[in-house]
Amino acid sequence: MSTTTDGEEFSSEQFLTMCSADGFEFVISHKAASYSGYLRGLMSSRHPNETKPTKFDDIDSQVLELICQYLYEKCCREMYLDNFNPIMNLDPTNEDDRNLVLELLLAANYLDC
Amino acid sequence: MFKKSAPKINAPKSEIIDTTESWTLLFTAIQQIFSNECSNLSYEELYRTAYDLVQQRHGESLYDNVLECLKYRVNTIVKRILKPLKDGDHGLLRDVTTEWENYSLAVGMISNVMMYLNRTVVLNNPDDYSPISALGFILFRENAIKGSEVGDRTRRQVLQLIQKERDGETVDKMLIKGSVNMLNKLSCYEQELEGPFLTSSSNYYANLSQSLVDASSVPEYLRIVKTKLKEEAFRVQYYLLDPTKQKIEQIISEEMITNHLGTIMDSTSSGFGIMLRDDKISDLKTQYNIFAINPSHIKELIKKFRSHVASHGLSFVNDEQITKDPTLFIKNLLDLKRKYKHIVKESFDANPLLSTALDEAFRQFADGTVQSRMAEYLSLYLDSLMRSNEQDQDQTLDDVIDMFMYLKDSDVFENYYKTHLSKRLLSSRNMHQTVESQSCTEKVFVTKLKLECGYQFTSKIEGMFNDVRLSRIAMDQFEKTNKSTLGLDFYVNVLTHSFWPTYDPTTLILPHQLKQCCRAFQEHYDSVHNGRRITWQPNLGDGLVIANYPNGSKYELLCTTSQICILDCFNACEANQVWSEEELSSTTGIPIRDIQRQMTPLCSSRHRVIIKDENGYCWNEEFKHASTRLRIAAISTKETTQQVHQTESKIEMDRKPIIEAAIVKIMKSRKTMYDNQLIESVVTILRPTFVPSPIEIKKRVESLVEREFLERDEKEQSLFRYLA
Repeated sequence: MSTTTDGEEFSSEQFLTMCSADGFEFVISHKAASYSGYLRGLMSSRHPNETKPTKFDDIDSQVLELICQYLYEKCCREMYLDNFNPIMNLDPTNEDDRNLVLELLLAANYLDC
Repeated sequence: MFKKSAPKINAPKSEIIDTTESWTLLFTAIQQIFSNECSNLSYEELYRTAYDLVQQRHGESLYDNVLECLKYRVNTIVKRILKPLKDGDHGLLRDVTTEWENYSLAVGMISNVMMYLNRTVVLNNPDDYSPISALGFILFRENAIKGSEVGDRTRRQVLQLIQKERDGETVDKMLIKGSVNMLNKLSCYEQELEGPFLTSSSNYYANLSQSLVDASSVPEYLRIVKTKLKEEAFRVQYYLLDPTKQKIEQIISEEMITNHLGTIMDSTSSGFGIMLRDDKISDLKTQYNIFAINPSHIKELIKKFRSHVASHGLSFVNDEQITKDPTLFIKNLLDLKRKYKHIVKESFDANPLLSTALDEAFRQFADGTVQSRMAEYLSLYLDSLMRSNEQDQDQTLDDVIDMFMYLKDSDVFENYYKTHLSKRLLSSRNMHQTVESQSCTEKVFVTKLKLECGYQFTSKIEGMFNDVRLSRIAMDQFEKTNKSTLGLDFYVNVLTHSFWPTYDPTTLILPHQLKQCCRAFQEHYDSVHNGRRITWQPNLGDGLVIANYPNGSKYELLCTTSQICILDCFNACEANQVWSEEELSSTTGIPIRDIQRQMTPLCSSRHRVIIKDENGYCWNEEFKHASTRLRIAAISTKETTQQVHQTESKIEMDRKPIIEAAIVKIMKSRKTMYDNQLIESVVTILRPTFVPSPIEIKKRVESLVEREFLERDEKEQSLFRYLA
């Protein structure tokens, strides 16, 4: 399964494929990816048309999904981001959610976003 | 978003990483990046290695190691550049730029890989650690450019190339641009290159200007300066940085203009003055644009322009030939104004400072000696303009109004203008025209005057026009009632006393026929307007007489009423009777000196109607002329010195009540005032009309004190109080 955005808007754009630890693939546009420092560096060091997916062996699909959503939100709203809804909807009392947030923190630190 | 069951935290890898192994991996990778063989490297792997090292608290040592790598690399580059000496220094530039480009690419890549360092180590100690990319540049700058010969030799090379280009050779611009970009990235462009560039340019232009300024004329020199400015602008655009443009402009301006300003402005063969004189519009424009770079140059230009215009005008004023003829004088002034106005507009970009300077220059020479005659001359010029009956004088009238604004004492002008206008309005050629078709130029001028000076100034003049119009209507009425009884074509202009100039009362004795007509009109007028008093001024009028000669020819003579009276004397006498001046004077009532004035046109070589000899005047039987209708009346001429004095004293007299009225008005509203304040206020109020002298004002104040309109304060001598 993969999460894609509206195809028409970005048909002329390049795409980056990311692979989570549990095998899910996430395809995001280069524009959105550039809001992450790591991905920016990655793209500049690679051949532009290369389509090999980057593997993230320590990032779960849930986390990766949140990150992709975040990057797209940032991309659409141009750095103006007060409320990131998926996070707002999480419940601090729930243990699952807390774990999720912790993982998210680590991944975000790694990816610089 | 879907929820998985029981997610587990992926704890960070807790294995102790082998630092040596990690570092070796990174080190090899860096070397590969430097030698451009990085296609096999995995960004993720390297990034992760660096990440792990930092997590394991080895961030600082990692940083130091990277720094060492970079430093080593820079030194290698320097050695490589300095080693070969083939191609002399020319190859050096190429080597430097190539090495630099490769190096900066590599540093970029390394910086990407080491990105995590930037967010941890660098962030925590910003004073000691700079981001990797910045670090790379700093090392290059310190060790390669500044720390070794590379910088000096690069600079020398670049300056040499620039000099070659100035001498006319073509050089590789891209090479220079590469070096400039490099220095710019390293933030040492200004210090390393720009400074020395400006110094060498300064020397170059100093020498150039020295050799050129003697060899060429000023316009040529300026054209060369313009070319050089353009050249340098292109140079900056091609391969230097934008801020340099202004600096090099300043240098050229300094070396080529400031140091030779005297020559440019004052050279008698082709300097600024000559260019102004000869209307060299495009050369002046070039000069203006070049001078615009430095504000002090423009100031100098303005100063010289003003003094040039003033001296040019003064040369007219002092030229006897020109000042003799008022029309010529005014025309010259107007041409002068037009010429310089044109220059200001075309060459000096209509700069308002220069327009002001032009005005000031005019005021300078229009003041002083000429001022007293200028009002009169201006009016005379207008007079000739109006009489010439040309259409479309709008521009000229605007110019005349311009001149009028320079006059300090506008009441003098008003006086002359009214005098001349009255002559124009009352002359017989206007009688047969309706007032509407009467020269539109007159009306246009009055309108313009009204715009400039306000309604009050022109109210009397408009009254004069009105009187003429009303007289027309009155005469129509008169003719209807008295048509047959007169036997003459008789026309009277009724003038309202206050509007028109004051005329001396006349002692002219009219011939019998004319007297009858006057009586008839007086009766008619008294019946129409009760309570008005008429004073007859026949010396202002003119008329047509028919001269019947014995040889059968008839001539119609257009002459003044006074001349008609004199001619009438010859009517009633023998053919060859000679009349002396005294006899003529007693018969007609005209004073003797006026007799001469009236007779001169009649005795002139053009129309010798009367012959003058030692005894007196005699009828010329042999008079012949090509046309039957002749105009004899004299045209207005400029006043003799005596007449000017008369006019001046008359105007002084007229001013006295005006000053007094102003004083009373001020004192009435202010009640008490000090004398110097009073003088100031009076001057301010009267300035549009004329500028009264403080002495005159003081005299008027004294006179008012005597007549008990004002009183002095007992305690303070200079305080005045208004007495109701």
